[in-house]
Amino acid sequence: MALDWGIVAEMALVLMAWSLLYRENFFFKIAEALVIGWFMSMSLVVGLDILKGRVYVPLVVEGKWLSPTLIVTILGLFYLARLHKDTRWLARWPISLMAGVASAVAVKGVVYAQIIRLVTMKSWAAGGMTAFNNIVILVFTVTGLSYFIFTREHKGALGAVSSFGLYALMITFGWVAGTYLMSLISMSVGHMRTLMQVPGIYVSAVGVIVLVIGIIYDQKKAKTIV
Amino acid sequence: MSVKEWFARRENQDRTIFVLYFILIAYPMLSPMGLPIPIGEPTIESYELLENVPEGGVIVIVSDEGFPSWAELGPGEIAVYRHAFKKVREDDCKIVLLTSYVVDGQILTERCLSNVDLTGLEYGKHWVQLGYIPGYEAVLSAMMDDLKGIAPIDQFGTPTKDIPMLEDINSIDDYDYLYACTFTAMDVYIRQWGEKALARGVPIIINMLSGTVPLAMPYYRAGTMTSYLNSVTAGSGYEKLIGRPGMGAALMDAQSTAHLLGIAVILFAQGAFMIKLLSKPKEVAA
Repeated sequence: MALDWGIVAEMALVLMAWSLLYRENFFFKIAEALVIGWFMSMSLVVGLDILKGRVYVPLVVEGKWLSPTLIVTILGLFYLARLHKDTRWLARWPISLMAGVASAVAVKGVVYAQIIRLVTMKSWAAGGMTAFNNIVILVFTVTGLSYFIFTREHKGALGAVSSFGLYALMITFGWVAGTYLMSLISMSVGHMRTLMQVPGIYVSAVGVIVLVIGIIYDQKKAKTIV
Repeated sequence: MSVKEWFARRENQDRTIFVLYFILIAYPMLSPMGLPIPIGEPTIESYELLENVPEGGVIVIVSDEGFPSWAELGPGEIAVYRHAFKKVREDDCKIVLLTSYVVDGQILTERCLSNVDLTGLEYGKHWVQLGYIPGYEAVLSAMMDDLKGIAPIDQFGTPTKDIPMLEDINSIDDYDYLYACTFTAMDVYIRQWGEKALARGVPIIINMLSGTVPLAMPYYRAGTMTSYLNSVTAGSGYEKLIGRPGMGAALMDAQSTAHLLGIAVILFAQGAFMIKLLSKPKEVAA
């Protein structure tokens, strides 16, 4: 069976990246630079492809000069005006336009999806765990919000409620951090599967040998210094 | 240097944990333990919603995952692709594939398709790949009203107006199932699709990293997001539901052993801290 060099390269890069867990080293720096370089080149290729299909063909090949594409293309070219100090100000136009559009698009859906629906409970009369969850949501929301009331000193009832709110926030952040850690575990587990199969296992074997050599080298170096 | 001195150094403690971690996740790959795979309710819901897409229905798949997240999101993504293409074969459904966030999604779409049996299916008639459409949130918003407007050509340069399948597909009125796979914030999809999709009864399913699930729960409970897939856990469950155990099932054992190590390390650290704390007054007294 022919060796899949794509997987060999992928797994070698994974091990080179993981080598940072031992200490910063030459292999990690190579992997870091390769990944950034690859991503930039890939983006450039896809970007040029998009420019060809959506700008060059309609404007130049099909001759549709009078279209919104022309305005967008000119605004896009304004980004490059940053390269010269006399024309740098032109780049503010597409940036401000993009910021404005992005904010407008985001705000458009916020009211319904992120405000109205979230504060509308499906049913208060639910039983079992749903009722318990509803109570937890209500208590955590009210107490959590009370923690951020700064117009009154946190004393008496407000003090007690906001203290509880602080614990509610800590529980929530703990949960988020825990599940994020779980995410990272899943990622490494996925790569480990490929590392334990042919041809990844050959790369793993080479990786272990390099690591052992590295450890021995470090130990000898430490003794020499002592 | 004695073992105690060696272990007292913090970097060596970290290295010991990493070595144990790698041994524990590598072991189940070499010798599978066959631990039971739990299938969560949202996973079953997601499966049933896709299964219930009517005959001739349109399935929209937005692949916004990146390479770093592939190991986690890949199993679920491939399982959904397989299920969607099964719907194409059995119920003459149509699939629209696109990417709005980063170019990685376009490449990973190809990877997913390489895991699907496409024999007998025809590009442009059964499925269409619109490729990477830059704009992210603006694209997600615009695709609800004018899909061909934001994608005048497909991934291969063919004008979308010339693609037979897209003749009657252009807005949310034509979609029957909205699915997104994301390795960033899921609320963007809810924001842009929520109101219009829910008004027309079109389900929204999001495959996301387990780290973002807590942030998605309010939307799920409120019904703004119809259902979700919780990364590799849901991926392995979904594989089981479609009867094609694959990458996800193999990863679950390793994930369980990794979690066991996590619990052991927490207990060990807390235990050591408590012992130190309780023994302190004695030292002071002495």
